[in-house]
Amino acid sequence: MDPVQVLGSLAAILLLAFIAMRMFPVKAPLDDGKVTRNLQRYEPDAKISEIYLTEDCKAALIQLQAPANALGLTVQLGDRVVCRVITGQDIKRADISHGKLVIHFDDYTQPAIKLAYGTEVLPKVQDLVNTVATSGPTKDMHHAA
Amino acid sequence: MPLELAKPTELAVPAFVLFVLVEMIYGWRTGRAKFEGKDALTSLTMGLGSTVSGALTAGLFFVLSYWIWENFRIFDLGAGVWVFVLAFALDDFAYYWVHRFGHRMRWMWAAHVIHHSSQHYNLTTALRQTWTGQFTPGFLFKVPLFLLGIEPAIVFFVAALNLIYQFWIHTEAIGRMPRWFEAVMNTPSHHRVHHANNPKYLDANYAGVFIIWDRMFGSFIPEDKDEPCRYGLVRDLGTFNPLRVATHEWVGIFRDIWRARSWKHRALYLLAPPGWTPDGSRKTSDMIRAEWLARQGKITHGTEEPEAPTAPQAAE
Repeated sequence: MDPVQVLGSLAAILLLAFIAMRMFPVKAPLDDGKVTRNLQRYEPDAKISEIYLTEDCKAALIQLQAPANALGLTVQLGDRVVCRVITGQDIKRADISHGKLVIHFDDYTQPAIKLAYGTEVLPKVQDLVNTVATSGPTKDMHHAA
Repeated sequence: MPLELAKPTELAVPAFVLFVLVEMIYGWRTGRAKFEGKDALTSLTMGLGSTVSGALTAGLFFVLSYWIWENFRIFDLGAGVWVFVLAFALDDFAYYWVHRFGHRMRWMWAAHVIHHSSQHYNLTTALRQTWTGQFTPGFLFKVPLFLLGIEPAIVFFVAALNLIYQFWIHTEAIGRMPRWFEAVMNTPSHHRVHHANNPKYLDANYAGVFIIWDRMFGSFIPEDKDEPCRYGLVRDLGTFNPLRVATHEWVGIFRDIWRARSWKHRALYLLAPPGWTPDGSRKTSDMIRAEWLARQGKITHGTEEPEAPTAPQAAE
């Protein structure tokens, strides 16, 4: 491989990504409607009980009526949304760090997430996560392809 | 002495950059193409990484190909223009099967999943290529061409042309091509379906250049204007990190094989379709589609109230 071509390609990559970032800024944060639509697209059988949007509106934990012993997670990644239905076996641990809820997952592409909540909501979501984390293994919602 | 031919993909790189820029400007002005900075950065980085990783093992495959061709070829087809034309058609046929297995066998999916991991569909997605294709049995699909007597340099040359053809079909900026063209060739419309994760569209339109292979082997699904394509995986990645993007399915395979309780299960974690598990606890694309069809049936037969609106939302 020609090192000049590699360096030239690298420069072009950075330039194109920079232009994309400027031309297509990420605007719309999550709201309840967007969270609901995306989670139900991901898991049509999910029944939402309550949505806990983070303060920056970039993620939401979702209390579910169905599936049982599971929790919804919706994260804004760039301008798109990534959804998960999490069971106890997906959660390695959950801690509070610097006023944020940090959940560590058994998920190679999303190993941990920091969620910023106000002081009133934080204990509620922590309880919610702990309840699911300590519940028995249920249906593994992972799917591929 | 191997035939010396130009490397079309290297020559095409400046054009790729230019066309990405043109699509960005067009999308910015019209809203008909969407980009996101980090997504584009990841896609383009995967493209560069793919070129580098391919170059590291190219010599090995070159030697192996020539060894097969020199020792086992049935005919000596030479290097006439008709051989290039034949090679292009046969290589595209081989590509169809490599690609089909790339979606239906988890071992090959582990390499190919990278190309489908963006939730965007634009020209940068075309360049989001695997770093690990050489660790799959994909090479075997080209062996019949060498055995037939087509010189490996010609096969690699036409394969590069095939790859270049596929660049322009990764766009939402083009609606449909003329009817005759849509009937024979792979187009942006056909390939949008291939990249969509809507249950209706899963595992369809594997073609590289000629869509006729899908029509012949029953894997063709036309784009439906009432079912807008949503792009990405059925379980999207939670990262833009290129290293994690490149290796995530391999990690998943190793974890599953490590935890498997029998050699049969270990083999099937590698050879069965993505999403296969011994207890059916994860979902393959067939299962996802079957569930979707069952849900559609319920709605159609009035046993379930259809949700309004019934048309799926585009990924947000």
